[in-house]
Amino acid sequence: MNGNDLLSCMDLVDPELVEKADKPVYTPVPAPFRWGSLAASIALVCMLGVFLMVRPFLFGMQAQPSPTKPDHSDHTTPMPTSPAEISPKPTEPVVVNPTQPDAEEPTPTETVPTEPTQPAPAETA
Amino acid sequence: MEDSRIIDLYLERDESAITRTQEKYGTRLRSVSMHIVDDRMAAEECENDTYLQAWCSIPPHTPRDHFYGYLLKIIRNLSLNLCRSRQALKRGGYLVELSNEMQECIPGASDPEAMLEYHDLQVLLNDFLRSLSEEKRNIFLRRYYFMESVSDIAKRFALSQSNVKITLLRCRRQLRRILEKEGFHL
Repeated sequence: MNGNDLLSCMDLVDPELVEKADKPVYTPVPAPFRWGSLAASIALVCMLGVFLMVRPFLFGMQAQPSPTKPDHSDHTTPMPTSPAEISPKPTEPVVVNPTQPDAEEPTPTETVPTEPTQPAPAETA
Repeated sequence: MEDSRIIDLYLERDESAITRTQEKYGTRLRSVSMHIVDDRMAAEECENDTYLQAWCSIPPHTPRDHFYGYLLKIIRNLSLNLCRSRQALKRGGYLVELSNEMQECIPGASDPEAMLEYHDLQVLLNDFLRSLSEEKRNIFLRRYYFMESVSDIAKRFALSQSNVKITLLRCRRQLRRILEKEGFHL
């Protein structure tokens, strides 16, 4: 028997088993990629980027000064011309907290107890 | 339509039986033939010859229980014969590869006496297949009955190719041990 006849030997297999082996396999098919959603996302990101780039030009003239930065362009206050006008800037008094001691309290030193001295005998008259 | 109703149409010699058969099993039969001959035109030729052979063989046969298995057997033999007769299909190498694998586990019969043992072989082979798990049995049959490539089987069962090869090797060894134990000389 040659090799091809060996393949024919498989005809001996029960048709019931063969039918079971030929059941179609239903593999889960992944959902098709939605190119539309990708394109929409890219377009949205591009529009946001363009908006951020154009925004200074659109709203630059109406921009309010930032309250955190000092405005050096304000020249409305006249500068003093005479020394009399220059008043000494009052210095703020230094407030000393009365509750807090100015200096550190001296640490108590240990006192060596001394022996009581005997009283001198009273002089007899 | 139920298989038994289609068989009735064959028995009544109603030609619509062929149409009904084609509607129900045509795609699957062509797919089986495609795995063997690897040529679309040849597969369609085998499919049509299968309907003709079924028309000629029913009656006397009445395969009510396993009509599709009956058709599979016909188209498989027709496809194998076509591969043998047409060298242009260039399927010789693939068939030799499969036969070499089969030689590891199925005995070759060169004399009529050995052919008489085929009934015993049929019983042992079917018992062996039934003893396997469903997945192993289907892998074995997909390879040696439907003649699918290892890569196609791996895709079908969501396994790696090496896993399929190892499963097939173990099945062949197991079948060989069973047949040798029963007195078949490989």
